[in-house]
Parts: sequence; C-alpha cells; structure tokens
Amino acid sequence: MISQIYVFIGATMAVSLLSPLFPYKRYPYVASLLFGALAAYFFFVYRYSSPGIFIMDNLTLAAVEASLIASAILAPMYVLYSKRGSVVVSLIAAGVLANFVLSSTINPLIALSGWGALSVSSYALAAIAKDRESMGNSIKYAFMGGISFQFLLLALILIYSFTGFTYLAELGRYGEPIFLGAALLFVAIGFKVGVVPFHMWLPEVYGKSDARAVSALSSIMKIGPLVLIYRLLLFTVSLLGIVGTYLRYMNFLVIIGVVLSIVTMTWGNVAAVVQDDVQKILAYSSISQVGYMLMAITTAVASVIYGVSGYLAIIGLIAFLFSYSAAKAGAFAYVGGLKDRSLEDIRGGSSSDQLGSGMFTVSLLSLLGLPPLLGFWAKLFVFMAAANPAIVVFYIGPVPWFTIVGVVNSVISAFYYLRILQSIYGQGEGKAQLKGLRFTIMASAVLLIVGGLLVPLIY
Amino acid sequence: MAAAAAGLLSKKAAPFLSMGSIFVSLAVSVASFAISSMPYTVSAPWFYLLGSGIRFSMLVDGLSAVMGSVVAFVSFLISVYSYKYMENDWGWTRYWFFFTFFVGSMLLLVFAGNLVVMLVGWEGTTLASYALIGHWYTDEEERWVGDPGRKALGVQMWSTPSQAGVRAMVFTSLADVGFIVGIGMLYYASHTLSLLSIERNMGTIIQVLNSKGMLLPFLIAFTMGAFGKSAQFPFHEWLVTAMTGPTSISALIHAATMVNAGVYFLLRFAPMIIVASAAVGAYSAVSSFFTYVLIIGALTAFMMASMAITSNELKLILAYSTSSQLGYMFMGIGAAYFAVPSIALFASMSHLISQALFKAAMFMAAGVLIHEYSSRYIKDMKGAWNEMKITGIAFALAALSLAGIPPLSGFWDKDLILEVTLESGNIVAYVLGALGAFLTAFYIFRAFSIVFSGKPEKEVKEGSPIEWVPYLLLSLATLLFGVFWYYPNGGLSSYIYSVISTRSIVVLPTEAITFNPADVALSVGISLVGLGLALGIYLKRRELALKSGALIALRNFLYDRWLINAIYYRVFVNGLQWIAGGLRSYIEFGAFDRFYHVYVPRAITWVADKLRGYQKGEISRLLITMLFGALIMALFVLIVMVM
Repeated sequence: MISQIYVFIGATMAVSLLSPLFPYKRYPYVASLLFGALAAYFFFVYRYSSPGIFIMDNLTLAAVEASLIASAILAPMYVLYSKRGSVVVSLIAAGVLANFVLSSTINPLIALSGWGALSVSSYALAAIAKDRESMGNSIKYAFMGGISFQFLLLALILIYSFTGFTYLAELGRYGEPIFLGAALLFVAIGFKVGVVPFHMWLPEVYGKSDARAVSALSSIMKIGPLVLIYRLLLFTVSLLGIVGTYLRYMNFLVIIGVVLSIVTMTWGNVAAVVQDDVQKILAYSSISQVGYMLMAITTAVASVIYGVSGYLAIIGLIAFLFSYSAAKAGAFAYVGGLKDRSLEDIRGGSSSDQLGSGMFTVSLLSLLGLPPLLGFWAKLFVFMAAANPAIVVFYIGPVPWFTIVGVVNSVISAFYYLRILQSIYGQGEGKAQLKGLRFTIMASAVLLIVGGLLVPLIY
Repeated sequence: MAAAAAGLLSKKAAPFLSMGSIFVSLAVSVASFAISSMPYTVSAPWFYLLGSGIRFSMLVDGLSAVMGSVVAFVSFLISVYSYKYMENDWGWTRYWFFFTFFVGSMLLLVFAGNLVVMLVGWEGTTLASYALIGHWYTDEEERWVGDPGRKALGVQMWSTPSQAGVRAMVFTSLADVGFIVGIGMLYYASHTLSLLSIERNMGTIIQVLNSKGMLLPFLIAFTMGAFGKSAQFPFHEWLVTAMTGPTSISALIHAATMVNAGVYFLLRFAPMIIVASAAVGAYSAVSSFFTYVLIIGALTAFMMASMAITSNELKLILAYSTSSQLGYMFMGIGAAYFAVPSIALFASMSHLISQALFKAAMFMAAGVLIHEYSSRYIKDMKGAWNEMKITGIAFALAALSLAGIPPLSGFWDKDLILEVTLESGNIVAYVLGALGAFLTAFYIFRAFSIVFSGKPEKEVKEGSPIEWVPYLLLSLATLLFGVFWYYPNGGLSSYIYSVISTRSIVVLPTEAITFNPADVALSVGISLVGLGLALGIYLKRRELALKSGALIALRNFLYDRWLINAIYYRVFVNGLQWIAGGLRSYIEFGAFDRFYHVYVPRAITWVADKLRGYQKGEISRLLITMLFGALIMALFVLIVMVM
C-alpha cells in the first residue's frame, strides 16, 4: 500500500508540472485553492499516515503548512500581474515540495535532492521579472549558490562518512571531522537563509530584484533549510554524544550558533537603519529575522545538550516560520506596488490606499513583534526559551545575555520599521498601486492577527 | 452586607436605589445585634497571594455592629437630605453612584474580617472621597474654600474642588503607605491577615517585632493610615480643603463616617495590643506608642480648635471642629493604655457616635444656610433666626452638644475622655484638651451668634422638610442620646459599653463608669465660659477689633492654619519640584537623553554607513566575504580541536 505521503508528494509535483498548462488568468484564485487543499490534505497525512523514511513531527507539519499557506497567499498575485504567472505557481509548488523534503529528513541523499529543487526554483524565481537587474542578481545568486553547494557536500561527507561504523569505539575516533562537518553546515545552509557573513547575495537579490518575486523568495524559500539545519545539528550532537568524549565540541557548536545568530541579527538591524529604500530595509530585516530563528534553533539544540525541555524554543521556531513567511509575503507584496521605493517618495502613501496600508502596517508590526500579532508570540517564546537558566552558555552570572541581545536588537529594529510607517502616514504625494496585490497583503495581515489571537488559546 | 455600588439605571431610579440599599444595610446592621454568638464571621475563598489563600471574610462583633449601625443610620438620613439638597445638580447620577459606592466601601471596611478586605474598603472610601470632593470639578469660584488671592509665605491659601480632591487623595494615600507597610510587617511576623488570628497571635507578633526593635516603628507605620484618614496632625490639611465638596458630602464623609474610620481602626487594634502587651511585656515601646497617640490627639484637638476661632467660612469652622473632635477620640485611645482600657476606649467610641450625630446635623444645617444666603461666609449670614427657627433649634442643640454642655451627649463623652486623660497622668495632654474644650465652645457659639442673631439683610426661608427633617432628627438624637446616656445603674452608655467591651473579638474587663464631680465642674465651667464669652462678644458687636500688632499677627497665624500648609508646599512640593527639575535637566536630558537619542543613534548610524559602503554588488566581494567567513569558522574549529 502506498503511503499517503507519496500521494502528497505526487499531488504537489502534479501542481508544479501541470501548472503551466492551466489557464490561471481566467481563474486567478484556483491556485490558492489548490495550495489550500494541499495544506488541508497534508494535515490529514500528518495525522493518519505512517512516516516511512520521512520524519513526521510538529516541525515538519509547521514547515509544510507555513510554506503552503504562504503559497496560497501569494499565488493569485503572480497570476494577476504577470504574464508568466502560471510558471511562478509551478516554481512555488516545487519550492513547497523541496521544503517538505528538506524539513522531514536527515538522510543526506534526500536532503541533497531537496536542496537541488529548492535552489533551481529560487534562482528561476529571482530572474522571473526578466529585467536587467533581476537577471544579473539571479546569476550572482546562482553562482554563489553553486559554491555553497560545495560546502554542503563537504559537510555531509564529513558527517556521514563515519556513521557507517557500528562499533562505537571506532566512531569515537572521528569526532573531529563530524564537528568540522557540522560547522560547515552553517556555511552552506547559512548561505541559503542569509546568515552573516554568508549573506552578501541577499541584499542584492532581495533589495533590488522585483519585489513581488522577492516576496515568494523570502517567505517560502527559507523554511526548508532552517528546519534542515536544526535536524542536522541535532543529529551531529547525538553522534558526538554517543561516545561521550566530545561534549566540548557540542558546546562549541552551540557557541558558533550563538555567535552567528547575534552577528546576523545585529548586522541586519544596524544596516537596515540607514537604508532609504523600503525594499532594502525589508531585505535587511529578513537577515535580522533569520538571526532570531537561528536563536531558536541554537536554543533548541542547546536544550537537548543540557537535558532541558526545548519545547518553548521549538514552539518559538514554529511560530516564527508562520509569522515570518506571512509577514514577509505581505510586506514585499506591498512594496511591489510602489513605483519609487525611497522613504521620501512613499511619504503619504497611506492616503491613496488606507486599507492596504493598514494591512502593511500589521505585517511590519508583526515583524517588530508587537502584541497581539503572531510575531510577538514567536519572539516571546524564543526569548523565554533562551532565558532558561539551565543553559549555562547563555548566561553571564545571573544575566541571560543571549535574550538581552535579542531584546536590544528588537529595540533597534523598531527604529526602521517605524520609520517606514512614519513615512507612509506622513504628509506627501506618495502612491501605492495595490491592484492585484490586495489579496496577498490582506490575507497575510489577517493571518497574523488571527494567528496572534489563537496562539494563547492553543499554546 | 455591604451595599452594592448602585448600578445606575436612570436619573430617577438612582437616588431611590441608593437610599434603598443603604436602608437595607441599616436594617441588617441593627439586626446584627441580635446575633448571640458574636464575634461571628462569614468567609469565602477569594484569591491566592504569596502561596496562601486570601479569604473574603466579614466579621460581626460588638464593635463593628455599633459602628456599622451608626454609619448606616447617618448615611441613610444624609441620603434623604441629599435628594433635595442636590436637586437639579448637573452631576446627579455621578453623585449617587459615588455616594452609594462610598457607603458600601465604608461598611465593607467596618465589617471586614481580614486586613485585605479592610484595605479594599479603606481605599474605596478614599476613591469615593476624591470623586465627591471634586464633584464640581469645573471649579467655579463659589465652590472654592479659603479667600481667593490670599497667600501665606507665597503659597496660595485657597483651593478649588479639583485641587482639593487631589489633595485629599495624596494626603491620605501618603499615610496609607504606612498602613500597607504595616500589613506587610504584620504578615511577616504572624503569617496571617485575618483579624481573629491576629488577635490570637498578637502576643507573638509583639514579641517577634520587639526582639528586633521594630515594635514602635511597626505600630506607628501600621496606624499611620488611621491618622491620615482621621485627619490628625500632620495629615490634617486635606480635611480643611475637602470642604469644596457638596455640603451633604461634607456631612457624610468628612464628619460622620469616613474620618471615623481611623478611630474605628484604632479601636479595633488598640485592645489587642493592650491585652497582648500586658501578657508579654514590651512596655517601653507600647507605652511610647500610646503616649504618641495621646499627644498627637491632644495637639490636633487644640490646634484645630484654635484655627476655628478665626475662620470666616461656616463649613471651614465645622471642618476644623471635626478634626479637633477626632483628636479627642485619639486622646481617649491614647489614654487607654494608662487608664482603665475598656472605659477609655468606650469614651472614644461614644464620642464617635455623638460626633457623628451632631456634626452631621450641623453640616446639613450649614448646607441649607449656604444655599439660602448664597454665600459660604458667616459674615454674610445674619438674622437667620427670624425665618429659620427649625434650623436654628437644630443647630443650637448640636452646638450645645459640641460645646459639651450637659445633658447633651457631647458633654458625657468629652468629659469622660478628659477624665481618663487626667487618670493617665499626662498633664500636657489634659491641658491641651481642656483648652481645646474652651476654644470649642467659643468658636461654635461665635459662629452661631454671628449667623443667627441680628436683623436679616436678605429674604430667606426655611428649607424643605426633606432637608430639615433629617438634621432635626439627628439633633434630637444627640439630645436623647445625652439624656439617656448616664444613670448610676444603667443608661444607654452602659449597654453600648458592655456590647463593645464584652462582645467584641477582644473581651475587656469592665468597670463602673464614674465621674469626679470636681473635674466635671471644671470642664463644664470652661465650656460655659467659652460659650458665654462668644455670646457676649458676638451677639452685640459684630466684629472684634484687633488693635495690637501681636494680636493681628496671631490672628493671621491662626487664619493661615498655623502656616502648616505653606510649609508643606514650601518644603515638600517645591523641594520635590526642585529635585525633579534637577533630575530632569541633568540626569534625564544631560545623561540619558543624550546617551539614547544622540550618542547611540550616532554610533549605530556610523556603523551602518560602513556596512552600507561594504555592500557593493560586485560578485568578487560577495565571494570573498563568504569564503572569508568559512575560513574563520574553519580556523575556529581547528583551534577548538587543538585545544
């Protein structure tokens, strides 16, 4: 009997492959319905299907649902505005499939296949606008992606070459390569999601390419790799832990994660402060958001090492996956409707479309982490998890400095988010053309509000 | 038991709802005398705090039954009076809401079974008091207190309703800080907040605190709230300006009920302290505390009476008088430790009852006079006797009681208080008290003769029966209470005495109440001299011409309330403003503001500019950065491995 999982994979693949043939132009919301149906079906699969070779846990569910919801939000926008709308739907579906594969495995071969699917669809998506800027950036992106792929291969080889040993003492001699492999994972996957200092492509692509394409790139194409790095880190930690002689390495793995997380969020936030271009601000904000997610991942891994419950950190990561993808989808979509994107030019933009700007405001405030929006809960859970006194690495004396750095970064981020709001609600001639984008912006805002109200009930 | 804060249905229903609920409270309070097994408690779980459950508990014992009945009785009569007095007021529903809320809080306070419930009621009365003092918050000049434009030491000596409301809140809340600290210390020492178990553990509490030398600070902090509520020095200032509220409110809150809460509080705890300290010692701290209560009480009694002799505003005279009479009650409590405790405490309680009766009557009468003459100054009222005989009779009876003329009730208990003070051996307090009694008789008959004598300059007429029936009833009550107060073998006094002494949570041994004829003669003589002097001067000549400079200075000193208000403003208000200004300009703007709004943004901008400069789109730079990052990571890994 074929597992339901394969039915899901087949269905997603079918959406991806058959989409270019379907006349979406006449039925723009069919794509949304398709993704919605897949989301509903996946929930069913998660509940009632035997996992097989895939890991089916909360995190997989969250990753797939978050990417499907983001897809459902975004799809009509492409269909409505672009001649190649059905191609984009196809690419997004491929991305969703890749996310599923990446988030549900620690098998290196499966991971590599997912990586390939994700990479191809992101590079194509970055170039979809076919203008000079987008094409150039897409090529840079692909070139850098090629290099990072080498790192991924190297990391996987280092980690997995030695897992064939069944004799524990034998495995015990190879802690160093496993450690190095785990460290290189940060380089490879860090590139994909935009961890500083492997992020240099990101401001180029997110900041200058077509904003509507970026909204899918930033929201959907990061989810799978984030879950993958969590799973692989956990796997290497368990490898190192089997023998018991490499506890030191586990600690240093956590320290690498902490340093990268702090550098990433700080870099992203500080660099966003002086940007004058709304799209660039959002690009840097993407970097800083990844920093928070890396904080969640590091905390979850550290919780396992220190033998405390990582529940809060995982919940925080899940909340982040949803809030980040929804908020970025809406925010970049709004930017897609702006003719000139500098803060001066958008001044007064709210008066041309009150409702749309209000919804845009909701997504920005969620990124900032204002209650009761979903982004608030995500940050709250992660910060609370990182303040667990049992994780001594996160403490200087009685001070939970990792959390404090996160909070301080949130404060800095308020500066540029509010700057955007000040601009669009100020006096000026700015205009937002939200024709065809409104569904995406509104759906993202509704998701953030409803999600934010539901969290305290579910949690 | 506590009247629910009236849900305000409509303009018409509000007063009746309020009166009805107060009447029910009255009935229940009076009926509670029938409970044979006093003290009687009712309680239900409420909420959790510090790991222990706080219960919502009510306590009915002799003391709370007497107090609750007095409160409910006077409140009911005043609510009837208000129905006419507040007619056509623009804040009608708000008035009734807070009126009922106040009575409810007051009864909650009286019948509270633990300190948390008591605190809720306590602060409820503060809140209602604030709202009712500031009832006319539009601050028209005729609602002010004090002479507009008058200054002492450069501080304004008049007060508008909105200022007065805030002042009342600030003064009493300041004192309540001590109360709350005291509750904390009590909890620390005994781990209980229920009155019954505090009573049982009082000996331990005193021992624990005494062994740490904290007994006296505790007693002073714990009772500080009571001093604030009852407008004792140094918290008396709020009561004076509280006269900006409607007169019915002055009668209710600032004469008959709320200000008595402090006395009630002390009557509640003083017997526990006296009984427990007799068992466990700690004489020095406890006796210092009671001496302190005695002296503060005597000082307030004298000081406020001396202010009252110069005042020109009828309500203000009554306000001074209230604070002064509360001082007498505090004297009785202070003397309780040194004399026969049950008699001294009963004297205070009895004076509380008489004061509630006659002061409420006087305030309500004053309200009608102020309405009729459209002025708050006594010099504008003249010849009220001609047209307003009922008011005159009621006012006279109440004034006689206040002055301590037999056989009115004020005579009995004030005399008993002076008697126990003398017995306590504190001559200073006795002299202050006796001088106060003289001044009391003088100021009240000064006001009486100025207002009621002479020929009327203005058409005035008696108020409506809804107004005069309540205060006439109260003044007759003070007469009857006095007449039936004392018989050698009984009387009203002995019934109340036995109820509060033997059926309360602390049972005190009772003794027969006796009077020393010489002392009685002395105090009555003092009062009569004061009375006669006032009548002699003010019935004939309207003004006392002050010739000498010293006398004028003295008069101004008294008129400006001993300059205490001015000193408070000079020292505390201006001092705090000065400190706040310094903090603002040097710490806030000089350090914090500059740091957060100048240096930090500048640093971040500088770094961000550098980062922006680094981000060029060239692919070589992209690649180099990434490889450089990977290299650093590999180096780090290498170092860790070698380590």
